[in-house]
Amino acid sequence: MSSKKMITLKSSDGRIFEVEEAVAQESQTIKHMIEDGYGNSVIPLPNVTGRILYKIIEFCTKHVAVEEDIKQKSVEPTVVVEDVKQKSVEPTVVEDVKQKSVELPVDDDAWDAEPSDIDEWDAQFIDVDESTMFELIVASNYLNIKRLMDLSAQAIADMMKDKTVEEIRKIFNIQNDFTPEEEMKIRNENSWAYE
Amino acid sequence: MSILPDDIRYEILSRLPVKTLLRLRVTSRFWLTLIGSPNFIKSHLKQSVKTKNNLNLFLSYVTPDLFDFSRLFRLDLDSVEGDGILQPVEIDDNPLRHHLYKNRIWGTCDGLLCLSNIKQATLSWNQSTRITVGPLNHSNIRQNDGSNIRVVDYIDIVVLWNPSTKKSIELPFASLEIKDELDLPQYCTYGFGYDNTNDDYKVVRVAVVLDVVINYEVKVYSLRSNSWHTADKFPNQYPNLNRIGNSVVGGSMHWMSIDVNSNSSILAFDLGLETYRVIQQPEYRDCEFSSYLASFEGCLSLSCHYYSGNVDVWLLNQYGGENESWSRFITLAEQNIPDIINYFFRCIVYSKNGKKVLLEMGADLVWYNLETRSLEDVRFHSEEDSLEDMESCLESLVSVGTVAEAG
Repeated sequence: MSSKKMITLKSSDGRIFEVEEAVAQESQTIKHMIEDGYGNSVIPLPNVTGRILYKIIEFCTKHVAVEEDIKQKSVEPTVVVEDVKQKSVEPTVVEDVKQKSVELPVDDDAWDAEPSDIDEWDAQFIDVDESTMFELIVASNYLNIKRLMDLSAQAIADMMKDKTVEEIRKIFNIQNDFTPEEEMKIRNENSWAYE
Repeated sequence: MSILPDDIRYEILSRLPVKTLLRLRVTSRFWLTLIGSPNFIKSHLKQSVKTKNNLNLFLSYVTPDLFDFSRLFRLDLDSVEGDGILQPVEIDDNPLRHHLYKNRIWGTCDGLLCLSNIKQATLSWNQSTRITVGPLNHSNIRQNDGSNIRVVDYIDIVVLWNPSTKKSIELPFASLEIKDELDLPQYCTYGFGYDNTNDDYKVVRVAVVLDVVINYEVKVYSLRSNSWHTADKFPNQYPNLNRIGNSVVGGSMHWMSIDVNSNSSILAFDLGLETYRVIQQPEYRDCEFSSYLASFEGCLSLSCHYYSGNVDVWLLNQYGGENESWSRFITLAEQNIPDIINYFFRCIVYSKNGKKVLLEMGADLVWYNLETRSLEDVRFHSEEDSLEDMESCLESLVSVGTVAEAG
């Protein structure tokens, strides 16, 4: 165990994560909390679930490592498990509180691949289902992690760009408040765009 | 799916291609207003500049034929960065496609292109005021009254075109006010750019008439007012228009200028203030060279092809600042230049990762590797003498006003 300062984060569903300070500071929100003196106790993140926080820590750890030019083959967030009364998302999490670090089940495909550069790693990282993408963008916005915001915004845009208007309305939960005549008029202004 | 916060939705939408955004105008009233709002258009443009997604090169080819038939093609930068064979795609909705002569591409700014072609028109030339007006049609044709002479001539048709939204506007006719004799040769060049002072897009026309002395005039078109007006000239200098391409940088148009003693200087004409400034020239290696002034990624660049064979491309740093100075950006030694006579060197764009520069060398497109300081294989070769103009143009929603579709 290194002597680096560790920061403790708590997700909305009560999971505790211990991360190196440098990794935690990838989030400007957490960085400001540390600067304001809250770094020595558990920092609660009521807007982020454990599942998403885990992924975010994975992202930040990787990028800090890349910046420090450390070549790591695997990235394993350390997790101290407490408060297991609530529903646990991953049933294989070890509930023995004496354990200091736990290996959580990971997506083998993500780890086995050796991306040649960080852009490929990012592309694999964000290759997730729509709902996870949305959760990631909301969380990275709240935590103020610009790189992850940009990555998830671009991924969602790429996912959206060939969808029909109806599909977009469904995804964003939007009501069509045009009359059929109004809608036709607007469509005709750029009819080529609907091909 | 719960509703996303506004700022996140904004971030996502500003990364969408223009075609998708135009389609999504019909999603809801809120999205219609949002997508058309000036702030959103600016954010979207910023993203376009940053990511270079959907950056296209526009190429204008002339088929040397009886009619100088011109065709416009598009090449996307992603394919230029890749390894496959480059296939320029012909553009069929070019707003000047009905005109049979050379399509010129004069400049690009914020996703807009300034193009011109020519058409025949009946003009009225006044011998005493030297003003040529037109075009005349059945509703305004005048009688010959001695001082007005009717003449049939070719006039420029200039358009501003957004190839992503497919909207364009044809500029009104700009009269010429310096012609002493009808048959004097005249030529002109156009510059196009954004006027920061007035939040407006401007087209500058520098028209030269060759007589015993050189007469020239500078006119400026404002998109906001959709009209031309005459601007002041820089005293005791004459523009040398052979040596400039799209040279609008930092809100000014640049050209080489010569005084009565044949000393040349670089003039900067501010699009908003319409004032002039002289820019010092770089320390040339030699005095015999042909030069080309153009803009490159927001910087003023000057390519010098020395008669000895070497090429220097200079970039002007710290534009407008106290420490404004030229630095040598790319140097090509004679032996590294392919065995074609290239008078013409121009930097087009950086690669997406910034490590390479796309060069236009004569009729070829070649990547120059900034790390190894060497040219790579010719990426694209166009038929000799037929590539007229090339410009890179990003995607944007910027509007050219209320005038309708390309055509």
